Amino acid sequence: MFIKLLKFDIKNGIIKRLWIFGLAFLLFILADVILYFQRLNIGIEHPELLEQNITLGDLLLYTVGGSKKFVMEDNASFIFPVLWAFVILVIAFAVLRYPTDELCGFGRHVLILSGNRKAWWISKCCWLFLSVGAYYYIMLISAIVFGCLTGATFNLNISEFLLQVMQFDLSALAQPPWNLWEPLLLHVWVVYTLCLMQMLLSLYLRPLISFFCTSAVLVFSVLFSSPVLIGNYAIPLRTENIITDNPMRIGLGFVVCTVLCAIMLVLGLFKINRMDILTKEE
Amino acid sequence: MVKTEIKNALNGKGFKLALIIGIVITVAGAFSAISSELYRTEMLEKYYINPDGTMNSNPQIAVSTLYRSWIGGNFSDRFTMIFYYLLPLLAALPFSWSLASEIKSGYRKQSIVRCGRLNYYFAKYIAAFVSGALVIAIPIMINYVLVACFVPARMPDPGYSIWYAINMTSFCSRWFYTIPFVYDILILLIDIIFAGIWASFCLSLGFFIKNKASVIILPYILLFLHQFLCSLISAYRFYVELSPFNFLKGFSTSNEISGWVILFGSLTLFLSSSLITYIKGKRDNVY
Repeated sequence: MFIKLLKFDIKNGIIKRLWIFGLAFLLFILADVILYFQRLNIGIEHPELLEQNITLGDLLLYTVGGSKKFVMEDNASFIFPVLWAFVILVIAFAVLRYPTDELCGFGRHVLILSGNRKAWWISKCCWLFLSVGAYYYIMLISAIVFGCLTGATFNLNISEFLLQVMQFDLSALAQPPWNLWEPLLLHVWVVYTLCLMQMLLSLYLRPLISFFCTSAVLVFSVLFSSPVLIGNYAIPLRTENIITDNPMRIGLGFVVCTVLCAIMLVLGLFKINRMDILTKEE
Repeated sequence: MVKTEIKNALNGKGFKLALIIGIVITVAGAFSAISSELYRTEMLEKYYINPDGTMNSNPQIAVSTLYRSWIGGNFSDRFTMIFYYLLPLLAALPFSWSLASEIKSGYRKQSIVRCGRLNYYFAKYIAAFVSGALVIAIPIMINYVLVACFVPARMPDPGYSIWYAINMTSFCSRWFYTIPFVYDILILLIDIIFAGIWASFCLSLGFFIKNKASVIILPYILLFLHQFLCSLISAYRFYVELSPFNFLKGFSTSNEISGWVILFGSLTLFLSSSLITYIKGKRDNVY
């Protein structure tokens, strides 16, 4: 039964909504193009930076890098990482409606006929994992396509010029090379955890409120650099691979997110088993 | 009809929830500002005042003022950013979903048959505006009053403009340095009017988007894309703030705030939402 439900979710929740991933591809390409031109702009003043080849890591970090920690200074304003927030909010919105819409429509009949509510919830968790994975896979593909067109170096190391674009003091960073591999995996895992939290909250509250919670977690995480706010682990520029001043521990991030995922999986099973699906309305 | 819709909007769970969230954020912002001002006063007494009561160096006393400590003027506080980044969601949460919801449920047909098309849509538009404006106005005013209870309203000194993030060329800077209370009222009015217009704009999207969550979330997400693209344009060409997340605050961020941009942005949203509501509402055939 689980396999059948999962196949159904993949068909209706991913394949029939491929246009979302198409839009995401265009969005990521746009971000890459902007970074390319920013690099050329900086190269006018600092030609030596153009000697460094742009890497795949640069293209990805520009899109999902986030920002430095918020430091309360009386005479300096903080630049909010809007592109980072936008990229996460897009996937959070893309996966927001499908489970609740399905539960209010066809899924209700599936649940009644199958009599297996646990399989429905686990199938939704797997569908969510595949959707988030596909989204970031599209990001990787767009970076590779753009990298091929512009002659980028195919590794996940980060160049100095990008950290300058992001206004980092190079002397305060970890020893180079700065590798994006682990922070990027952690970013994807955190986004999955956030989307799972959103899906679980949609069962208890309304989808709109659960999306509000996701947005609030992201905004609070940007401004409060605390290991308790999981959004911080989704900011590669705050991880130990890049900064040395109180960085976010990547290992801890994986542990926290995995524990949260397990708790939410159990809470979801608990809720779906006791939910009155016949009175559930959108 | 307008009265009924406003009553519905203000008695709904969405309004209460958004109001509570807004108040929690602004009260936290007030406590944060008050504690940092109290710390500044403590430092002043400890290090700047000699035993005989004279000052040993410039304490920059004009920096500690209500006009840079309330949530709309405190550029170094976290809660200011949190509030302004959640403002469009908070404004739309109370009532902007109602048109999409009633179109889908069919309740709209019942109302239009009883009170007429234009009355129905006008009432919806006004109710969304009022609920969106109130849900932002009340938390900001609570913050202002709370901060005013502890931080003195000293006249801002143009010599310390860097501490207020309001330069001589900033939006209405003359008012800030001469009649700061009026300046704060102006910022409050801009925030309230923008929040109301934003709520009405989201409401009017209900004609095109059938899902009630999407009418609020989609424009909010697009605001982030708008800010990202505008920051690039501003950074290299105009040096003017084009994003509502930033131009609603009472201080300049990386770019200068322009009154024309605020006016143009608000008018565009107002005209597009009212035209959509009027045209679609007039042509609407509910039968």
